[in-house]
Amino acid sequence: MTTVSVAGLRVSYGNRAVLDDLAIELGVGVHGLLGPNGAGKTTLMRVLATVLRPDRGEVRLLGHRTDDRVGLRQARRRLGYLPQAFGFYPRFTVREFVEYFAWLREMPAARIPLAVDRAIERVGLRDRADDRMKHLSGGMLRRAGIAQAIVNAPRVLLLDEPTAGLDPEQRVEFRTLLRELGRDAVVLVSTHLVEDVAAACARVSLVDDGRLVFAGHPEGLIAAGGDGDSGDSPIERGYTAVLRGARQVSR
Amino acid sequence: MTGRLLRLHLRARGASAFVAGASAIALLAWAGGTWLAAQPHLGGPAARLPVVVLAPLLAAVLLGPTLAGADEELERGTPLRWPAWRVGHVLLAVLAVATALALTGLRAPETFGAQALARNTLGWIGLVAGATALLGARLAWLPAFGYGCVVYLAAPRDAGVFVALWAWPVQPATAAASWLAAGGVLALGLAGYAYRGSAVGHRLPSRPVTI
Repeated sequence: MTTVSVAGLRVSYGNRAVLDDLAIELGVGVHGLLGPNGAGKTTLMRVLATVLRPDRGEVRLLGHRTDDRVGLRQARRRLGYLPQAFGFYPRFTVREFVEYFAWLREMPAARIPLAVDRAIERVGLRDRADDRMKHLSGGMLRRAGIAQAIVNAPRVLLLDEPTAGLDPEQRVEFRTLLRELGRDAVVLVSTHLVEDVAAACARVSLVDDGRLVFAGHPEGLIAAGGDGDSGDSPIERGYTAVLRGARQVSR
Repeated sequence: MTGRLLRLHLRARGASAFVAGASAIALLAWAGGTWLAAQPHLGGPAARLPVVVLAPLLAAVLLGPTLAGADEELERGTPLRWPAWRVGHVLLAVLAVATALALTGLRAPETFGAQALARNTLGWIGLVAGATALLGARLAWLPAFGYGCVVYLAAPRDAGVFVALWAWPVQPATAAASWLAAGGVLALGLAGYAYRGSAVGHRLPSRPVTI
């Protein structure tokens, strides 16, 4: 079932189109969003997170059009978002930070304490739940950010570079968490780490220069690569092959 | 809305630091205003012009950082009715600061006393709120501070309506046009801030999604 639908999306900064006529459909499961720097991944995530309004195009989240006020509020209640870099609240403890976003997402009051504890536990921060945010390491802050994104059990979860700052063991644990979350939610993970995509994502989309140049299973991306393509792993070779092919076509 | 959400929101916005700072400003305004008003050779109560300009301006400057969260983008992607919260935030601050400062000027309320302090609170907070929508909370103090310096240094003494409109912070409380100007600035600033929230630099959506 498609729960995120984007059609004819165009976003520009000044005269430069960052996303141009982009269409994408996402259903339940973990989706990887790949692309080089400046390809438009973060812009797409911001549009889906409803913090950036596109120049044109239609965005539907969980069946709600985001240009409709009522639909937008309903979609936002079931949305989780971790930006690429987020400002944290130094006076808050981890628990208060996660709780604050549970309230902001208008969760029922009675469900909040348990949901907060569960989200903190899922990201492995139970021992640090009462520490102030300003005392956390970069990786812990990232995990606190993931906790606030999942506290409302979102049906659409958008994670922009979620594994930045995590150590290898934490990344492995995070992939497990992703698979769990992807059982009943749309999880879109924007990343440069193609091995994360190969390990945790059921589908992958590749964006280059504001256009969608590949959408399919990771195996399809792997199959696109050949021995002559650059890269240290099959999926890296597929990634570079698809990018090269797309750029040749656009010339 | 619940008390718990309100408490968390106030902590997220550093409300306690603002209250402490605004209280200190009110105390200084009371001490400075009382001393100036007691100096006949300086003109008595009319000598309180610096206090009337500076105290509400400093309180408005202190309010600036509270008008944005640590991550505006993260907050505005949530379903809370942010425009209503923003309006409430600013009006509550106006009420608290205007009341506190007006109390300091009640002993001799005429000319540059309680009423002028309240009027300037409306104007300066409106200016800071509007600047927050355009420049972001960190830089919101700049236009108000710059304008305050210019008006205070120019200190026009003419009684015309046009002068009262542009130099509202240094007008006596009896100048009706100055109230109109300060009220207008508050209305515009409040509307801009309610609609846009705090500008957030390069990550600011040029067309924010509002609810």
